[in-house]
Order: sequence, then structure tokens, then C-alpha cells
Amino acid sequence: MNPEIGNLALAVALALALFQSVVPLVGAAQGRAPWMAAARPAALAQFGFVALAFIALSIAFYTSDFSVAYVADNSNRALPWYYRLTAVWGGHEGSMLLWSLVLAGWTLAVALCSRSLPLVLVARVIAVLGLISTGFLLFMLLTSNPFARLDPAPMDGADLNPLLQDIGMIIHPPMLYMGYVGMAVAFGFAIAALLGGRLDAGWARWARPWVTTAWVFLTAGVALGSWWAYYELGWGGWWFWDPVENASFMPWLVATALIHSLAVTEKRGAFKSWTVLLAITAFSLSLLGTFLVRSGVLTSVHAFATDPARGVYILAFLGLVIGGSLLLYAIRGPFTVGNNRFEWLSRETMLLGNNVVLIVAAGTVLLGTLYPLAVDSFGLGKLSVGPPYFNTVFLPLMVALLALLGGGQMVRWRRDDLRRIWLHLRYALVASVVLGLGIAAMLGGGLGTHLSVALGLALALWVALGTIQTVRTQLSGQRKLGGALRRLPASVYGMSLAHLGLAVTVVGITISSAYEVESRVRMEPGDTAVVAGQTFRFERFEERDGPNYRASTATFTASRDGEVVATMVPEKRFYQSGGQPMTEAGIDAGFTRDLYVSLGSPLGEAGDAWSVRLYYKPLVRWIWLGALLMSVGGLLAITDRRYRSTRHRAQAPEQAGEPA
Amino acid sequence: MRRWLAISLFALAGALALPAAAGEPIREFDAPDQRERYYSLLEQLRCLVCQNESLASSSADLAQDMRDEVYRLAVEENRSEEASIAFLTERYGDFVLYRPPVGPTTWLLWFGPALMLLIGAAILATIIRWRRNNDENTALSPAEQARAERLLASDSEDER
Amino acid sequence: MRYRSLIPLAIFVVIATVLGIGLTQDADEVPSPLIGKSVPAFELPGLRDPQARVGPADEHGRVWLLNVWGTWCVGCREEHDVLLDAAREHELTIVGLNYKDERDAAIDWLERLGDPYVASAYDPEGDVAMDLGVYGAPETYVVDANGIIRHKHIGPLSPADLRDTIVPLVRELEPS
Repeated sequence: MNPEIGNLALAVALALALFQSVVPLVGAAQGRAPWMAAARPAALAQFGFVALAFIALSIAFYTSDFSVAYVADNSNRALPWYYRLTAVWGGHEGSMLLWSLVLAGWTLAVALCSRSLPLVLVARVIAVLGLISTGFLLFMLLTSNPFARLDPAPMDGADLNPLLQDIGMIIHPPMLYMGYVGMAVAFGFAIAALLGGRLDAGWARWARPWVTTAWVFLTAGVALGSWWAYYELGWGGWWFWDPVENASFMPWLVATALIHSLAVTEKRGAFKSWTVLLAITAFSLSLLGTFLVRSGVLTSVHAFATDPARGVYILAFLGLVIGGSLLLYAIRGPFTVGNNRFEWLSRETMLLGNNVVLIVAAGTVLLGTLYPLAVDSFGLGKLSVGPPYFNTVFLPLMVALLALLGGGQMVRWRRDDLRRIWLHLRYALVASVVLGLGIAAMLGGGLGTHLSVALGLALALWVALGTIQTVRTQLSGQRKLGGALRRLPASVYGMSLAHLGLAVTVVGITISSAYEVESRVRMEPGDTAVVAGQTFRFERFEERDGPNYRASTATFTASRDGEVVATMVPEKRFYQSGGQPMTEAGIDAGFTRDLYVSLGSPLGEAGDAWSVRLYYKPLVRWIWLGALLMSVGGLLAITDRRYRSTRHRAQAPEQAGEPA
Repeated sequence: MRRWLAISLFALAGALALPAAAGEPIREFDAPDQRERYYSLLEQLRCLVCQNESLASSSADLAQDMRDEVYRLAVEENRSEEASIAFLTERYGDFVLYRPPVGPTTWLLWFGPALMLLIGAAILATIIRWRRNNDENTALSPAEQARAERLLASDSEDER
Repeated sequence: MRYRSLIPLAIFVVIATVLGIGLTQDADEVPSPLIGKSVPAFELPGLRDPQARVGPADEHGRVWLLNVWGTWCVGCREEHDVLLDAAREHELTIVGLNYKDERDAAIDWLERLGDPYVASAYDPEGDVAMDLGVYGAPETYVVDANGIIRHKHIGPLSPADLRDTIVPLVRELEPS
């Protein structure tokens, strides 16, 4: 009975979504207020029914109702209850349902938190979101219904993919979807602006907190994915340029560009068309990512749905949504250009430069991801584009971005004086170069290592010192530091923190990739190995039983100068459902370094000898710490007063010197 | 993530199978540069059955065979990195390389980013030059500008 | 409407076209660079008779199939009847390359299930397989009378593959 309720709820939600998209749109076009007012209740009702479907599926999982095909494929009786619940989004159909739920949730949030927005704008935004929702609900009902029945029901299910039986994979997809789908809100705002034919500073101010919120989730989602790969794949890599990672990285790059261009649109009323185009692009890339993952068009692992009908449907949907919105953009896009002059050296130039680099970066990822497909499509053979390519082409782009960022924050709107900038930043510049070279010399390594470390550190320092110096400049001339600090808007703190976070990530990437020490050794209990001054000792080995797997568990200790500093427990898990054994790395996480042990394979002979990988990874945690700081920075920026007081228009105009 | 394919391949074990695993042996190197070359090659080569993993990370059995082969080429036979890569591409094709060779079919791939950057910079320069000369005479003072924005904002509020 | 505002749409159309074509293709099929080239020369001990020498030189002048197999491979069991059919009904010449296997198990397999091969080479270390760019087993190559590889099939041969691809190709390549 329960699955039928879910099915019915999906169908009702589809009808509501259709209503939610058509009625307010027509109302907005014809100026009928009651029709426009229907948007909010429709969004509320749609959310209710999608949530009902989601709950129905969760119940089916919780009660192990294997008469539902999707449950039978992705769960099993031995699975612990918390994994039974997260298995809801462990496969294709459930992922789509989660997508829809998140979208309905965002729509509801727009409906509830938009009292201060003009009704016509709200109606259009909600209608556009309804349109997207319609597409996804229809997709589910036509090609991937999570409630499809299996007759006769099997006695037990196949099990959730063991890779997903992990905390990182429980929170990673919802986070990422929150980010992806959050871009839909920015998209909705963009389309509403195009339909309305007007776009003013107020529009940018309304859209900004939504975009920033989505960006925060996206940042967290991408970072979580990287963190998960780090500890779950067993050899300590944290970014692979896998098509699916790229699918989440491209929207992130464009969303980051969007945040910056929105700043210009809000503060200066400039780049309106460009901002709208970015909002469309960010969401288009989110959809494209979904397409790449779901359609199996790339030689990608994750394409767990490789049903051609699904691919065709998503491509058609993509064509309709993206093609349609770009066409609308071509027709309505060019907004009137305000009277906003600016000079070569100005905040506007800096932010445009930031946009150019970020968009080229996103374009590069797109090029590298789709290139093998394109070459193959034109019958020119098969080739692979992987990390060596991306690392090579990405480095110069990131150098440009960081170089621009360090000084760019200091530059004023409209026009600035190079001498002023130089006076403020000369010490920061000298310090970052000298310290970068000095620290690299201290840390040692070959010439190549030396140069790359010096470059990475100098850029990170340049960004960090530039950020700090910019805040200091804003405080100068104020009598009481405490009061001045309190008066600084939250957005300044948010921005500065996010930029510092980027610097932290850069330091982490630089140091961990240059000075990681790896050792692959044969070890049996009692053996020791020395890696980077740490003595790793294989203490003991045992077999243990998990709820639905058997694990070979090894216990390692690391000691320094005879004193035990860490205990690590790497495992090899053999799931009852079969498949490859899973490697659980044993990690001792630390602020300055991670110690990382993973079991390779048993070395045939008698005894408990294993091939073991031991790693010393300095500052690797900084990579994610930086991402965390960026997210927190984004959250801080959202709390800025001016977003809460959009109702009161009579505020003092922004000062030209205030940062974005 | 990249293990999913490995898993799905196992699920399809009937279709294409691999011989039973023999754990990765502990490698020995005569010189540090051999070690460097060996691991650098593993990073650059693709595990063919996994299709999204490098040889360095894959635990598939074919990857192990190929690692043995790379070890034989680069360490036992002491071939250069280029020679080892050439040997493997003759047998497995460019598909095995994660760094595609520069050639007519990959010009766009390799020079695309630089091209995009150039175009971006050119557009940027054009926009700035245009904005500098934009309505020199009618430009508003900051105060006027702010007032105009306020007017626009209150305008849009009327739409409610 | 200015033409330059159509640029984003144009870029999207290009990408969508590539994706559309991509959808119609089989992403898993990787062509072998050896197609159109000579089959690597090798001489391996025979499976049944370690003293014998088996290699492509023996087959020169006729069209033949090289089939890579092992007893550990489930797909090989699956295609075995197809191979028998190919040898008996269609009278194709098939050379077996026993890949990473135990000699006794392999001989036992052929005794039990029937032997479709005119000759079987024994490659326990997979050296020749590496020269052929073998991914796994089973794989089947079609080699023409001049020793040039004309086709490679990855995975088990189905009766349809045999009927629609392999046999017509062999007939076409056979010297008239």
C-alpha cells in the first residue's frame, strides 16, 4: 500500500508543479494578481507531496519492503538501519527523488522568505522552479520510478553499494544537491528578470543571498566529496579530475564567478546581462553534471543508470531548459547599460578579471571532460584526458587568479591610483615573495619542488596578506579599533574569511603534494617501518565481523622518539553482497600532518604479511580546512544587515570604498 | 568513486573476467630516478578495465598486470619514460594515456584554454576601453547615481 | 537582438550535439591500435605438448581467429559453445591462447567441454597477452592470410556476433 501512496504523491506533485509553473507565469504576463498569488500555495503543496513520496520511499527502505524493485536493488536485511535510510539516495531513482525534494525545498524557501519582493518577481521565480520540478518529476514517473514493484518480491535485497556505506557518502549527495539545486533559484531569478525585461540593483540584492547560500552548500559538497575520496579510496589522493568530480567543480567555478559579478551588479548596477548569463550558466552546468552522471554518456563509473531512454529524456530536457533560456537571453538579454564608467585600475576591472579567469577555468574543465567524447563522436579515435592534463593547464589559471585576488581587494570602485595600492601593499608583496622563497628553501627538496613550493606559498601569502591589509586599510583613521571592527559589515568579514580560506587551501595543496612521503612495504605483525621520522609499527592483526561484512583489521601505532603518538586501524572489508573488498584507511588526522595507513593485499605466504602503504602527509587537512573557512565566510556574508532590511529602501547609499 | 565501475564490472563478471589477484609485490629500485619514473608512469597511465582510475590507484587485476609490465619496462629494462609510454601506446592505443599526446586531434584540447584566456582578455580590454569613454559628459556623480538607484528600486516596488 | 547575444546559445548547441552523438555510441568499446597491423610474432609452448611450438607463423596463408581464454574466466565458459560451433559448423580456424592459467585445469576443460582449437598456446605469465594489448578474457582477434589483425572482439562471443560479424568477415577475407 505504502509504495502506491508514494506513487500517487509523485503524480499529484507533478500536477501541482505544472500548475505552479503555468498559472503564475500567465498571471505575470497578463497582470492578474490572484493568478500570481497562486504561486506560493502551489509551491507549499508541491513540497508537501514530494516530501510525502520521499517519506514513503524511506518507509519502504526502513521496513525492507523488497516488493519495491529499487529497495530490493539497494538495500538488504543485514544493512544497519541508518544505512537503510540513506540508501534512499544510494541509487539512480532515489537520487532523482532527493533532487526533486531539495528543489521543492528551495522553492518553498523562496515562497516563505520573499515577503519583501515584488509579487510579479516571486511569481516568476516560483514558476520557473516549478517548470524544472515538472521536468524532474516527469522524468521519474516515465523512466525511473522509485516505486516500481517487483513481483514476486525477493526474500532479500541486493545490498547498498558498499562504497556508499559510509558517513561521507551519507552527507555528500544531499550537500551537493543543495548546491546544485540552489543554483536553480539563481536561474529562476535570472529568467524572471529576462521575462520582466528589467534588472536593477534591487534585483541583484535579492538574488545575492540565495546565490551565496547555494554556493556555501556547493563548496561544502565538493569538499566533502574530496574528503571522502581521500579516506575511502585507500591511497590518499583527494582530487582525481574524474568526470563526476568535474561535474560538481564546474558549477562551483561558475557560481564563484557569479558571486563576484553579482557584487558589481549590486554595487554599481553594471554587468547586468553578464550576471544573468552567469546565473543561467551555473544552473546549466548543474543540469549538465546531472546529465553526465545519469546518462552514462561518459566512460564514467558513476553512470549507474545507463538506460538510453533516460539519456535521451535528460538531453531533451536539457535542450528545452538551457536552450530555451539562452534563446530568451539572446532576445531579451541586453539590458540598458547604466552610466557606470570605470577606469583600467578599478574594482570593476579586477572583478571582471576574476570572472574571465574563473570562466576560462570552468571552460577548461568542460573541454577536458567532454573532449574524449567529442573526439569519439567524430570518429577520431579514443583518448583519455586525466589528471596530468588538468594539472598542467590549471596551474597557470590559478596563478593568475591568486595574483589578481591578492591585490584586487584593495582596489576601489570606478578608479584607483596605482601609487595608493603600491603604498598599501608593497610590504605584503615583498613579504610574500621573500617568505615564499625563504620557507621553500628551509623545507628543501629538488629544484622543481623548491620552485613550486615557493610559488604556491608566495601566492597564498599574497592573498592572505592582501586580505588582511585591505581590512586594516578600512579600519585606519578610526579611533577605537573595537568599535570600528564591530561596524565593519558582516559581508566584509565573510569575504575576507573566504579569501583567507582559499589561501589556506592553497598552502595545503602546495605543501602536501610537495612533501608527502609514501612508503609501500611488506609488513607483518611486529614489524616496524620508518617514514618521515615516524616509526610505524604493525601491532596486531585480527578478523572481525561487522553487521554485513567481515573485516581484516590491522592495528598500527606511530611513534616518535620512542613515544607512541597515534594509533591507526586500517581495514579491508569483505561485504556479504560480494564485490571488491573495500579499503578503509587508518588515519591519524592532525593540524600539521596526517598519518595514513592502508592495507594493500595479503602477501600469499603463511602468516599475516600484508603489503602496506604508509603515508606522511603534511598539512593535507588544510585543504578541507580552507574549504570550511570559505563556507563559513559565505554564511557570514549572508547574515549581512543589508539583506535583512531590503524592505527599507531609504538606506544610505553604499560607500564607494566598501568591498563587495 | 572510481571503484564503482570496478564493482559493476565484477557484477558483470560473466562478461569479462580477470585472473585471480596476486597481491602487489614490494618493488625494489636500484636508483631513486627509477623509483620516480615508475610511480610517475603509474600516475599517467589509465587502468583500462576501470576506465576511470590510474594504474597507481586501481586495485583491479589487469592494473596489477600492467604495473608489472611498467616495472619491467621502466626498471628492469631501464627504459626512459618516453620509451615506456611508446611501448604501451603501441599495444593499447592513446586511450591508455591520461596525458594525450599533442597532435592535430588534440590541438583544441591543449591550446583551447590559452585561446579562451586570450579571447577573455580581449573582451575584457574592449569593455574597459568602452566603459572609460562611456558617456563622459552625462556621467553622474556618486550622489546622483545613488539617488537614481533608489528611484529605480522604489520603481520596482510599485510592481507589487 | 544583437548577434553576439546568440553566442552562448551557439556554444550550447555544439555541446548538445556532441552529447547527442555520444549517447548513440557504446562508451565501453575501445578500439585496438593493433587493428591493421601484423599480429605480434610469438612462439609459445603448446598447451598439451610443452615441447611443441605454437605461433602465428603456423597459420600463415589462411584466415584465422586468435581466442584468448582461461579456465578462471566465466565469460569463456559462456562463449565456449559458440567457439565449438564456429569450428565445427563454420569450419573456422581458431588458435587458442590460454592466458594465465594452470596447464592441467586447461587441458581438463578442453577434454570435458570439447576442443575448438587447431592449436593451443600456453601463456601462464601473460607475456604474449600483454603484447596483444589484452584487457582480460575472453578476447577474440580475426587475423587475415597475411597475418594482419582485422578485428578485435572484447568479451564473450554471442551466437549473433559469430553469425553477423565474425563469419561474414572471415568469408570476405578468405583468398578466393
